Amino acid sequence: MAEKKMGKAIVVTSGKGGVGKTTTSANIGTGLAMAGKSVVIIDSDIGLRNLDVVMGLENRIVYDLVDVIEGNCRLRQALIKDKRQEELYLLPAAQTKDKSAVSTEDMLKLVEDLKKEFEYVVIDSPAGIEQGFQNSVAGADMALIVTTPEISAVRDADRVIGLLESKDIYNPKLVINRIKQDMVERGDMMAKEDIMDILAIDLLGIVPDTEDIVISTNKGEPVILNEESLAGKAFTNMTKRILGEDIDILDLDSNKESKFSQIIKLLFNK
Amino acid sequence: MSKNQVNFKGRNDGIIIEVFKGDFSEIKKIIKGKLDGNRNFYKGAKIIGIESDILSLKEKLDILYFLKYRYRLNIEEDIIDELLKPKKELKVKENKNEIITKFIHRTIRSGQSEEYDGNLVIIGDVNPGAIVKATGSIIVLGAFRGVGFAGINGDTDAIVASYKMAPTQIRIADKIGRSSNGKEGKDLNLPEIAKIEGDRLVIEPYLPNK
Repeated sequence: MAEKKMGKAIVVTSGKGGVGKTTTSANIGTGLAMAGKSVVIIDSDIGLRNLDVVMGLENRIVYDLVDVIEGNCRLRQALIKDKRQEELYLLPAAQTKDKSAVSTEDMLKLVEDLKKEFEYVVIDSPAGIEQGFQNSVAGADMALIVTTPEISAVRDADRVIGLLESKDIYNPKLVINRIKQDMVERGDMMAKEDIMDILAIDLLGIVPDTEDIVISTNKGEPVILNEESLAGKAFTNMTKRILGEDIDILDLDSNKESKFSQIIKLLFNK
Repeated sequence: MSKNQVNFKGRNDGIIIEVFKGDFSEIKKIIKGKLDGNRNFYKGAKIIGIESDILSLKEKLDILYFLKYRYRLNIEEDIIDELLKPKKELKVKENKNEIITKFIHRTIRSGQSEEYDGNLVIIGDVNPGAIVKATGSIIVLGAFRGVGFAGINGDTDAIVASYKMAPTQIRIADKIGRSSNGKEGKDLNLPEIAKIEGDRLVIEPYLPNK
């Protein structure tokens, strides 16, 4: 019998809160499942769980991560199958406990167990650098650092990259979220080069700041499912790059409608 | 995880504390954790040495002092004397331009710090939120965006130099300087040197034919 290959654990972290870790985890997880991989996404933000809401699965939670660790249920019982993707599962966080309920060793064992069953284990990390973060990186093979083009977010991302290095997780990949191309062009927002200058890690992808992400979050449908959305396309592009496809990062400029066609639209739709 | 950071090596004549990696506050926590967890076992134990490539003299003394006064462990007298003895080899050199230098081949990231009793040469950047301190001078072959203290023991001849000088704050001996708030002169594309001139800290570009 062939040895089953162990899955790969990817932690999505940032340091700063609110930059798009959960959105990125949900979309990358969904993207990998759409590409035919078996995926489980873990919400490790115990006490402040959000991943279930973003995926639209909040009313299907019976058991959660703390239940699994305390032995109140089997791992399989806590996994929630996604509404849309065949091979996508969610392990929700607990809402009524806090981060001291789980130790690093517990997380390590859990992630190792999940790697035996799934090709990809995506771990949505909480903000900060304390116990919650420490737990989320236990057992991770690869890290995605999410940042927005703001000095405070970049400073926190830099701190996290340094911490990951001291935990022997090298080569994290960068996701720059909430880019507003027009602000960058006006010089009012950090460009990706400014961010890369400080963080000096490989760029995985850039996600534009679009309204459809807000809408999709509220609907509980990851934006990658929306074929019209530029943000969705950015996540699809990132998923392919994670899977090893040698393609360029989505160019946000050429995907914007040209000024000319925008004017034509305005003239004729009035 | 803490096994590869701190190890208590037991020998016939006592215990040697080996420290391999980690930052100082983490290491102190680990040592305290080991002792708190095993009070009876370590009572009356004798510490005969601290071995580490990454701890400074001050840090080693800090650890020995809390072991002696807070945990009441026996510390071999000789090791404290040995550490406190002024480094004769360095003091012999009257010439301040000939002190030892540490090379660091990586970027110092936010939240990390480096301190050295001598000069520091960093082949990499110093990112905002990082702190580098030296008794001598600091040279950064990259962008200096963090905080730098040179001449921390009062050497007013110490300098801070880098290819791209955009520090949050620079201090040499007892003088402090910071980069101006505006963007003027930011894109000089010349290496710059911060030094004390008279009673002020000045930053000037390095011009080859000066």
